[in-house]
Amino acid sequence: MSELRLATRRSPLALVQASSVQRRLSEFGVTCVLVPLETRGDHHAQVSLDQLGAQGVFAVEVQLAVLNGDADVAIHSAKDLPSTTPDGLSLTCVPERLDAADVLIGRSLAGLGPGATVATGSPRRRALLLERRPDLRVVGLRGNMATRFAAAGQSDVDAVVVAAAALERLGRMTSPPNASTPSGSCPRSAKALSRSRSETTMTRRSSCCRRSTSLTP
Amino acid sequence: MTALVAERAFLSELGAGCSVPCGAYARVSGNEVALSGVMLSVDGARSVRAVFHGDEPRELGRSLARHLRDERGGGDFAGWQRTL
Repeated sequence: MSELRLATRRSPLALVQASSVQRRLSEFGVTCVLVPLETRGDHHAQVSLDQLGAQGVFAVEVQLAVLNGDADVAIHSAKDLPSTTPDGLSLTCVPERLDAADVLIGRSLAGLGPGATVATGSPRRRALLLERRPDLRVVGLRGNMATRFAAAGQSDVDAVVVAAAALERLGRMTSPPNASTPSGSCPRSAKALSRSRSETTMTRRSSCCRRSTSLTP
Repeated sequence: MTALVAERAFLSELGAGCSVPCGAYARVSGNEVALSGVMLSVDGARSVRAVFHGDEPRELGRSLARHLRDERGGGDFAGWQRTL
């Protein structure tokens, strides 16, 4: 069997995710090579997701690589995927789900003083934060995990929101969160905020689904 | 995969990617899916939530989305608009 080409975003987190899929496939005897790609969302990191507008800004280029025959399989974070799958592609498999919670880096929600500033680029996270703490000042933030960690250390931002699963994948979690409850307890510096959808999924060309390797029971 | 199908059906029914404030989270136990959903106004001042149970994930996602949007008033939130 020839090498299976796995298309992925090229961010450090995406590469960690793709590498874990690569390892799982190797356990089934499938040799894989990663095809890292820059997406529109990565390229325009200074533009808010609202302004970028269209869905799939982190997924389209990765999906196109499969449609164009430059890769056999695409690996995505589920939240990056448009809610409809393009013709010619199908969602084929989902690895085990990690903790689905969002967490705050910097201070816990209770530890944030009145009017504190929290950074997130996600309208969902922003609305969920303001629902519980209307006093907070929520500012936009885009960029990869390194950017967000850097922002959390700046004097004008008290906390940033990230996915617990991202911390776990990058090995940044100081202790494991309560995996059974998305709104449950988290490490001191990372307070559970709400649920998000944190899964890695694979899409591949419908026409080349001859191998059916399931990563989950 | 079942959980993801239910969650994506919810988002698809609302025409939502990651740019409007709504979310869904599914848990699967045996054949049953428990799907929690939320729709919020942009400023978080208004929200509607519900949990639906069922064994057909796609229909579960769609019906939960319709319930929150059409019967619970989620579609009327200021700043919330269907994108499809």
